[in-house]
Amino acid sequence: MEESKGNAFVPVVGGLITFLFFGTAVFYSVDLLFGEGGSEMLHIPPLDLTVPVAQVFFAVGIFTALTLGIIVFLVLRTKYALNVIVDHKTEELIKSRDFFLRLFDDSPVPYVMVEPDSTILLPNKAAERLFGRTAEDLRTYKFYQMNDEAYITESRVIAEKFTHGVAVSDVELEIVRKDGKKRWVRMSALPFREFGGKNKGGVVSFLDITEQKAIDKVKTEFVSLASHQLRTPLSAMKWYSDMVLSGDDGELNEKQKAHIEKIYKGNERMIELVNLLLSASRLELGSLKIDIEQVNPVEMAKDILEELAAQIAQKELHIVENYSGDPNNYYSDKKLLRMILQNLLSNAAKYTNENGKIEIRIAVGLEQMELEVKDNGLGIPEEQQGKVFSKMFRADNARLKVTDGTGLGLYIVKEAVEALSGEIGFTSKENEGTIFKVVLPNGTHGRVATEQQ
Amino acid sequence: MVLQDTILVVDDDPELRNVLDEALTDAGFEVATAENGEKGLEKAFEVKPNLILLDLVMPVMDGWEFLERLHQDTWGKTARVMILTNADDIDSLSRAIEGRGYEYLVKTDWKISEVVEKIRESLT
Repeated sequence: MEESKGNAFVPVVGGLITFLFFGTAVFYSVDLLFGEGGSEMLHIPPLDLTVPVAQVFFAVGIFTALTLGIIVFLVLRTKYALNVIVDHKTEELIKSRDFFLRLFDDSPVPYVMVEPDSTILLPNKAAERLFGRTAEDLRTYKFYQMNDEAYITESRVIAEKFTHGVAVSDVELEIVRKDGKKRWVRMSALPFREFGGKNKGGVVSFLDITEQKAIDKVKTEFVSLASHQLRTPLSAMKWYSDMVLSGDDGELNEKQKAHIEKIYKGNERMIELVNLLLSASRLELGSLKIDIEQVNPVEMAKDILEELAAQIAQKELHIVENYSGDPNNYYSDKKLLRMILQNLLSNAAKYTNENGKIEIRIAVGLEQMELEVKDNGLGIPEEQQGKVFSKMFRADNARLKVTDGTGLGLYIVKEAVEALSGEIGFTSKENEGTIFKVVLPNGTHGRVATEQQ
Repeated sequence: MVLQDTILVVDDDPELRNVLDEALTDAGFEVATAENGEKGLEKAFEVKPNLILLDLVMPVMDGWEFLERLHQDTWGKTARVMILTNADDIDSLSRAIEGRGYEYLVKTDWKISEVVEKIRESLT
């Protein structure tokens, strides 16, 4: 308090003294200019500049007047300059705000800002077009109410996530427009916070994938149709040549038998190729529905070895089987698991020399299953190991020695393992052999069943 | 064999109908054939076969509809059906089987002799 009193005292007294000097100086200046009329009128002695005190008063007065003038000038000028700057900056801010608003509003990507309670706050024009609704209309809805009934629960969970700090990416949903038409969208959303961290909900972007979905559907239908159309003549060839070979149509001489066998084998290769192409297309299109059910991987492996029995016997391959864990307590997708086992085992048989050895190990656990297929065959050249899972890849040494490979098997295995959220790896040495290791999760049903026990 | 088992082959492809007919006749079965679901239903109710070998993708009436109609019949409900098809996507198959326990075979996976064997097994 004392300090503030002292502070007030200095300018007040200083001001009074200044005013006294300044006033006197102004008064006498005017007085001098107008022939001392002022001093006469007020009956005070005129300024006598020969008196030293008058000189001091006058000089200080003039100096103060000038200083004050300069100060006033400077203050006014600074204030003006500041105003100009403030106006300019304000204009810049408005421009930049408008720019970003326009960027948001005119963006070809539909965006929607969503409040923490999932209410739609700010849709851009592209979003208005996507939903076929005006911004005012959209603001009366919650985010998840825009979706097809089938997706409401899912989109509610999603909205809960991104309005509370968890980013969401690439979720496919079906939305319903005002006109009742449905569109497929792929949405991603980021949580949105103010400076300082206050939760402001989230911002959602949409990608209209309706056309893409339609194309995928046509592709899937094509694959199904092709599978049927291609296999019908292959079945006829297979069955007729099988009948001829079995001697139903009369005994064949050695040459005839050998030739029909070649036709049969060629046809089998064609069937295998069609099967592989279909599996690859289905995996790529994602049109394979994953059904997790109880499946016995050991039994499946044995079945596949049985199918390969002819090849194994012909090459006199030695098979070592090593199974552990409870194969009845395993849950996975049958088709995908079969693709994995079938391709790994048939590759091992295909690329292992006569009298070679194939070891299969399956260890079923509560959480996962480990599968290992080891052969002492051709091996994969080191410089080509990076490409093993690429589509249509065949290692140089394999290409030379085994002509009927398609380069699709391992690609399918990789895709199938990934579709099941598993992992695959391998070690290989040329002319020594290859070990493929696959780890697949034991499906959720398995865990539930175990917990209940 | 005094009373031969009758097999009804329902398939739109004439070659496949023919080869199945030959192989099954050779194996000692009585064989009836039909080129689509509609004709197949007529034949089925007429002959009451011991087993129906059914294709799925066919013109006029496909295998799925055939099964629906078959199931509306008292005899049809208990009829033995083996689905022999080349449409191997699980969705199509599960639609056809729908928990009715039909066995299904993908044509190109099996030799004709194995198909005959499967039929024989399922009839004993």
